[in-house]
Formats: sequence, C-alpha cells, structure tokens
Amino acid sequence: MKVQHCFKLGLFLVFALFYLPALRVLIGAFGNHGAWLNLETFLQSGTFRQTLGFSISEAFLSAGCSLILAIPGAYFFGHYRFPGKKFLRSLLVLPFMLPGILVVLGMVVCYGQNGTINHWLKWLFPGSGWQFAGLYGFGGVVLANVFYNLTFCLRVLGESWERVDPRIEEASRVLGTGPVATWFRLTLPLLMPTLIYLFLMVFIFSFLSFTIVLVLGGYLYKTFEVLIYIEYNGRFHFDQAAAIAGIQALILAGVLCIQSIWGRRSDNRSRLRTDLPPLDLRHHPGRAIVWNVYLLGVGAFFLIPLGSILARSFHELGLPDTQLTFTNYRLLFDSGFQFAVGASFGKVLATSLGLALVVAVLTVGCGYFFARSQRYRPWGSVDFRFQLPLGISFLTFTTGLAVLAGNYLPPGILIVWAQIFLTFPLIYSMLRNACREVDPALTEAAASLGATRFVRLLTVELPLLKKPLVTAFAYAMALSLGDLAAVLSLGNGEVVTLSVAIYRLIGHYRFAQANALGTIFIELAFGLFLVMEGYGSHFRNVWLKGDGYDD
Amino acid sequence: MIPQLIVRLKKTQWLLLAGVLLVVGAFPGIAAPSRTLTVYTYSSFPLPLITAIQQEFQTVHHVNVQFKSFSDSGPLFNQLLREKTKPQADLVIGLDSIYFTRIAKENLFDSYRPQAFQKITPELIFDSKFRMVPFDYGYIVFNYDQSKLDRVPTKFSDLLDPYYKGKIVIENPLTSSPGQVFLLTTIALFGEDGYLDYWKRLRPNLLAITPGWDEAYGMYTSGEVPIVLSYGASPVYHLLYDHTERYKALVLDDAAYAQIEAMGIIRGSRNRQAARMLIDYILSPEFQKLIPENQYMYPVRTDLALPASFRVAAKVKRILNLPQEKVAASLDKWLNEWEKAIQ
Repeated sequence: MKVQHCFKLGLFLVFALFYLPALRVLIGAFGNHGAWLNLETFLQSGTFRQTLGFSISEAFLSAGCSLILAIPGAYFFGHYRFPGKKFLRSLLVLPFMLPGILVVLGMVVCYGQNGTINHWLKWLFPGSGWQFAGLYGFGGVVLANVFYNLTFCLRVLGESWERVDPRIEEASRVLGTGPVATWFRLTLPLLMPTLIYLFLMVFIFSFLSFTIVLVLGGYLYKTFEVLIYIEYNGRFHFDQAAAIAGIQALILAGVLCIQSIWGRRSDNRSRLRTDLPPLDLRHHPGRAIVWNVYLLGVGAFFLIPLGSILARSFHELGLPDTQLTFTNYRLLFDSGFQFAVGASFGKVLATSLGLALVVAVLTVGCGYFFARSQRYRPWGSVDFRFQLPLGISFLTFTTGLAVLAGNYLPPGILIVWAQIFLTFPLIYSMLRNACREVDPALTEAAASLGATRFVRLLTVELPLLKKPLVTAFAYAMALSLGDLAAVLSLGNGEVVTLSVAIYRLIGHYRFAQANALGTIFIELAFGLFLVMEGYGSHFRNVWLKGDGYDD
Repeated sequence: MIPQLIVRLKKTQWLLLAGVLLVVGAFPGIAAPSRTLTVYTYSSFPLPLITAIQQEFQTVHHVNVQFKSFSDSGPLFNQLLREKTKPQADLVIGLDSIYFTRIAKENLFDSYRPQAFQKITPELIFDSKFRMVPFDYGYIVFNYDQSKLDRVPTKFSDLLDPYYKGKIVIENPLTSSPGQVFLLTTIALFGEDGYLDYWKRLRPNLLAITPGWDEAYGMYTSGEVPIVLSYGASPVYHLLYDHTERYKALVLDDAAYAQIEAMGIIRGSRNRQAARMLIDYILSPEFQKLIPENQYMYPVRTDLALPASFRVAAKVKRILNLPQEKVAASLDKWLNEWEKAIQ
C-alpha cells in the first residue's frame, strides 16, 4: 500500500509540474471568444495546410532515413563485442548535446557551398565543377535531422537488439528456417516495439525543429514551432500563438496514440548477461566488408561536421584558409571571455555540469521509479500522459512557467524544472521499454529464494538494466547540456551554461572562440560519457588482462 | 487521502523531503534590499556597460542596479506586455524605435525629458514626449568579406544581379530587428508599390533567411557567404580584436536606415527617481564614450568625437528612416505582405 500511495502522489506531482504551465497559457488564450474564431480561420488557411504538409513529410522522411541507416549498425552493436565499442557508444550521444545553432553551423561548415565536402570535391576532382548543393532546401532539413537523430536510433536499437535472446534465432535456424525468413518472422517482430518507438521519437523531434528549418529551409518551409515563435515574439499575438500550440499538441497527441496502439505488445525476452561473441572479421570477409563500409560511411557523415568545428577552432578567425593557431583557446581564459559571456570559464563549466547532473539524477530516478511501477502493464494512459509533454511546444511551456512561477522561484529552480520537462518523456520511455523487457521470472525466482525487495533491486534488476540506465543518464545529461531555450528564457541572464556561452560568443562576433569552446564542450562531454560507460575498467582489461573487447 | 498519506510518510521519506527542501533553499533566493533598481535588457547588452552602470550607482548613489536579460528584444517586449498590470521592473534599456508604436499604444512607459536632451542629435528624437529616450544608434547595412568578393556592389539594384546568387544571407523581418529594419529600408527606397517587387527579385540570390543575427553572422564569418546583413560598425570589432580589415561595411546608394535604441521608465515603477538618474547617467559624456567600442553603435550626443577605429564603420550620406507615424500605421500590414510575397 505504501508504495502505491507514494506512486499516486508522485504521479500527481509530476502531472502538475508538467501540465500546469502549459495549461496556464492555453486556458488564458481560449478564455476569450476571439481565440476560437482565430483557430477556425487558421485551420482553413493555406498556411496551416502547407505547414502540416511540410512538417509531416519532413518528419516522416527524417525518421525513416534515421532508422534505415541505424539498422545495420544496430545489428553489429547488438550481436558482437569488439574493441572500441564503448568508445563508439559514447560518441553516439554527442549530437544530442549540441545547441541548435551549433548543429546548423556544423552542417554549414561541412556540407555548405564553401564547406569541407565541397573543398574535398574541388581538390579531388579539379575542373570537374562538381559541387554538393543539397544543404539549402528540403533535403538539407532532412539531412540535418538525420545527423541529429541517427546516432540516437543506433544506440537504442543496438541495446534492444542485445536483449533479444540469440537462442530463439538459433532455434529457428536449426528448425530449417532461412536467415531472411527468421529475420522477418522472428527478429523483426521482436524489435518492432523499439522500432516504432524510435520512429515516433524522431518523427516528433523533427516535427518540432526550429532553427534547422528556418536556416536551411530558405524560408520556403515552416514548422508549427516556427509559426508559434513568429506569432509570439514577432507579432505579439499571444492568443493566436497559443491556438497554434494547442493544435500542434493535438496533432502530436495523435502521433503518440499510434505508439499506444502499435507498441502495446509486451515482449519478455531478457537474458542473463551471457557475453556477446567477439566480432570476427578475419574469417568472414563479407561481414568485414559490410562493417567497414558502414563504419566509414556513417562515421564520415556523422564525424565530418563535428570534425569541421574542431578543425576551425585551430584556425585564425575560424576560417579554413588562415594560419593554424591556439589563439582561440587562449582567449577563452582571457578577460575578454568574461566580458562577452558574463562569467568566467570555470564558473560556466561548473554551472553546466551541476545543472546537468541535478537534472539527470532527478529525471532518471523518477523515470526509473515510474517505469518500474508500470512494467507489467501494457502501454496505457499513464504512459501517454508521461509522453505528451513531447508534443507541447517548449516555448509555450517556458512561457507558462515564467507566468506561473517566474516571480516566486529563483532562476536555477525554474531551469531545472523546465529541463526535467524537456528530458523526462524521452528518458521515461527509454526506461519503460527496457523495464518491460526484464523477465519477471527472474525477480520472482530471486524473491522465492528469499531475497528482499532491496536486494532484488540491487542484484537482479539494476545489473540487468545497467546499460539502459547508463544510456538514459547520458541522454538526460546531453539534453540538459545542450538546452539553450530554457536557460535563456528563464535564467534572467544570470545563469550561464556552456550552450549560453557559445551563443553569447557568437553574439559578440567571436565565432572562432565559439568553435573552440564548442570543441572543449564536445570533448568534455565525450569524456564524461566514457566514464559513465565504465571506460576505466576497459583500460584495466586491455592493459592488465590483454582483453580489448567491449560489450 | 492526502493527510492520510502524510501520516504514512516514513522516516526515510521525511529525510528525503528535508533533503529536497534543503536543495531548494540552497539556491540564491531573490532577496530584495530596499534600494534596488531593476533593469530589463536583451542578452547581448555588453557586460562592460552593465558593470559601469552598477559601479557608478553603487558608489555614488548607493543604489543596487539589477539587470535581467532576455534572449532578444521580442521576448523582452513580451514580458512587458504580460506584466503590464503588475510591473516588476523599473527601466528598459535596448528596445528600438520600431517598438515605439506598440509601447505608446499600450501606455507602457512614463515620459521623462532627460537633462541632456538638447545634446541629443535632434533627428534621433523620435518621441517628442520622451517616453522612449534614444541612447545609441547604428546603421543596418550589408557587410562583405573583401577576400571573397570580386565584384563589390554599389547600388541596391546591383544585388539583383545573378552574380550574387547564393552569396547573400539576411535575417528574417518577422523574428529579428535587423531584418525588420532592412524591410523598412526597402520600403523607404522603393516605396510601398515597389518593395515587394524588389524582394521577389532579390529572393533567388538569398542563400538563407535566418531567424536571428547570430546564425546569419555565423554563416558569414565561417566563410559560407561573402555578404551579410549586419551593422555599420561590425567591421570595427574585427579591426580591434582580429586585427583584420577584410570585413567591410557596404553602404549601397550611400544610404542607410538607422536603428535607434532607446530606454524608458516603466509605468508603475516604484523607483522613478533612481530610474531617471540612470537615464541621465547613460546620456552623460562619461557613459556615451563607452558605447562605440563596446556596443559597436554610435553615441547619440552631438558633442563627442568617435574613436579612431570607427574609420572602418559605414559612411552614410543619406538616412532613410521613414516617419514614425507611417511605420506605426503600416508595419503589421507590411510584414504580412512580405511574408506572402516571399513564399
């Protein structure tokens, strides 16, 4: 009973924290008659149809491409252990922590008309006139969204695949079913809930994109988030902005319903930690070719934009055709940094990390608690209500929060509140998927052997869920580190995180220094994710035991 | 149900609750000393200027000046509207003249004629009642990268040449103030009948229309485009800190639209005396001298010499600014027309 009450109280609290701010805005807007009229005109307008059409097609393509590209990699991640696996897994979290402006500038610096790719084309094929011109337009929007989401799909799908018991597949093969038939009849259905989940997540993230669509779409395309921003901060039509936000929430609620229907099946298919076989490339040339081509292709797609930022941070003025220099890094510790950014480098670092840690601990803790309590139930209304914040425009939420509590709570608390809102739906659903894959027979067996609840949690459940928990923690930190909107709109300018510092450096003409800070930011987060993966123990294994294989 | 629950909370849970409260309490609360002046501004308002204000007021007047900054002037204005009935701040620094109509209509500011009003360049005083007091101004013009552009345009019509296809980035008039000023520039130049036609012909040459100045200038300084819509004094920064003159201001047809930044006392402020002193301080020669090389804008006082670095700033012969009443009456209409035409 006690746990039950705790659960209900928690549920009540979480819903209040998530929904009150947004409701405050929506109720305020729909309280007057004009809003309903506006809504009607808007729904009948060409803008609505165009925005809906563009958002759906762009989000659908982004989700599809991300998943298709992720599947081969997830296969290798799910089936084998190989040297550097933890290293790669840590690398995969990086795009999520890049603030929008850095993603866009990374894409521009890499795929733009004067970007790295076009420089290489000119150098490799002089005189051919070949040029990659696909960044500005519909294709560019999808490209940037895939860059942002592909690695997320790869990591989560890979982990889900690891939990598929290989004995089922082996049994099928022994019984004479071909590899293709086994994949379609057995593996695919087992992976389906994760696939649907990932598809919808990427769909929603892409549906909500703002900076990417505005910069790369050449202002031919708009998402609802763009419309909301323009109504809100450009035209100051608050009611109209809230009406559009309401419509967007309804559409995305519909999308989330799909998950409730299709992702309903609960598949118990956990296995105890049997080690994955090592990836043997020497005796399987076919496998070696596929793996290397894949690593090279996806690696290039994903690493060249990050590498371009890194490379430019070592150039004068941040331009590729200037001399190499450390000036940009030196200036980060200069008094000029303090003037442009408003805080010292050390303080910025401490604020960012502190904030990210608090948010990650709270989100993963609560997420795990609720996901665990729901683990034997099919996907239902509780899950739906936890996920719905994904569909609520973040701008609407932060506005509501500022109105509701802006004058009563210090900015630090408001930012934590908003960032939990931002991260919780994703973290909860990741853990929810992972928790229901734990076979209840295992914990029941432990219970029947006399293990207390606490011992069961510590010795059975947590070890089984170690990977999803680490992943959830890493993503919660990444999202918090990369958040700009909440800190800028709720921080009163007093709270300066790394993302804000990058944004301010760019705002004060210091683009090259912003690149340098971005590079430090990426490397730091990467190091942090490595530590979370337990990379320390990896080194012990490599150097002391001579076993370099990572799980 | 809830009281029952509270009784049922166990020792560990009380401890947890206490812990949470401790964390909450550890964050610096908003303590309110008696003499605090609250100022709203946008986030790129330079820190050296903020520090100068705070030090002056702390030492001379014993007033604590607290700055609260917003990501952009749009969200700042937004906050003013929302707090209209219960104002939380005393002074706003940094809304430009385009906001004047809305501010006058909503009756958001009290008027205050500063002591030094006769020293302000008369053309910059757009509100004769001084609800909004100008403190600096700058020109919104194109900038170009000399090392990347062989043919430097001299007229606005030159930009329509196919040679400039994909070479220009501007900001969106609906989401950014430089973008909005550029829209007004085209209306001042080509008239209400001709500006949309200009935009339609300019459109193919624009590589991107970004939501804010940051993205546009980032694309420019990373070498993606040689021409960007920015400020007339942007090259001053590159001269001072990058020691380069490759980035130049580009004044087309010798004409430009001036963006005038202003400040105003919020109606309902409880610190009006201190707010007035701050307005006077910002207009003093001592403070105005800090503006050029910190804010990269021009001071509004007529009696100050510009620093040497401003030799690379835009040279404007003709100021294009439209009459305030005309902008007030038609801005929303123009923005709507622009949005339809640009699709």
